[in-house]
Amino acid sequence: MTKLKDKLLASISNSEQSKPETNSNLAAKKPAASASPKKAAKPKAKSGAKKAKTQPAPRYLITHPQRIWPD
Amino acid sequence: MTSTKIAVANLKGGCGKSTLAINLAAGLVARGSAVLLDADPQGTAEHWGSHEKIKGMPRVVATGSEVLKEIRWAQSTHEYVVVDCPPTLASGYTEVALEQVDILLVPVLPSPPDLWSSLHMVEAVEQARKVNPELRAYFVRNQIEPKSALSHAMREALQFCGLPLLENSLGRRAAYRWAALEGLSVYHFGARGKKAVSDIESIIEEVLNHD
Repeated sequence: MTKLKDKLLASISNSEQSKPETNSNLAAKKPAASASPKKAAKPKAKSGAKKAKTQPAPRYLITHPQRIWPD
Repeated sequence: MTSTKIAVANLKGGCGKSTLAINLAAGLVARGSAVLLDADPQGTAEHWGSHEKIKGMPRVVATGSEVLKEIRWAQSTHEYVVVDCPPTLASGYTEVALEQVDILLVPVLPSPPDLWSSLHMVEAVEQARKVNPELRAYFVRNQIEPKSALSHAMREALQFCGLPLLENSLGRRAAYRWAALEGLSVYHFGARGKKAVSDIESIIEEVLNHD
């Protein structure tokens, strides 16, 4: 019981210390742009490199071409 | 007329302010003329009071923004005034009530979020005492379950939270909800309200006789 009471009292001090995340204090938390560590730059695609396919062709086009071009 | 003014307030919604205020006022009617002032724009007490009146029910008056005016009227015309406060300080109604009343009851449910929120009332009481140094304020445990470890731990924890704790508490009882459904207080709910009446009576006696 005493442990539970202590836990409750500890939760009070935790709730007092932690401030709610409002837009204003989120903005305050956000480090200035100059101070922020730079993100690792993405490697630039070579200008002559072939563009990778972003999406595979729909499966049915490959396996069932007759559905699109019937005889 | 000497009047005893009791406010029921907490910045946490759903902690039983209106339930306590309604039944407190109903219990005080047996001791003298009593009026319940509903200062909460949600109008819970007012809604309850709009049900068909039966003998022994307190009068309910919605204060609107005229909290100070209504308290002054009520104290000049009734022996007991109960003020049901809104769950916020933003409107200023709670502060006005705390500056006028003799006693403040802060109902607290046996749950950590309710405990955290209730602590804001300690600051509100300190502010009010600058204007109303005689204000007596107490935590009242609500919806207590005798076999719950958390209910017991809350009792111990609240003793360290800045306001005195009433010895008596409100149990977790269906009678409060059923009585409200019929627009009644637990005093008018027959045998089904017996234990709840006993809770309220104990609180009234403790509050009125507390130094």
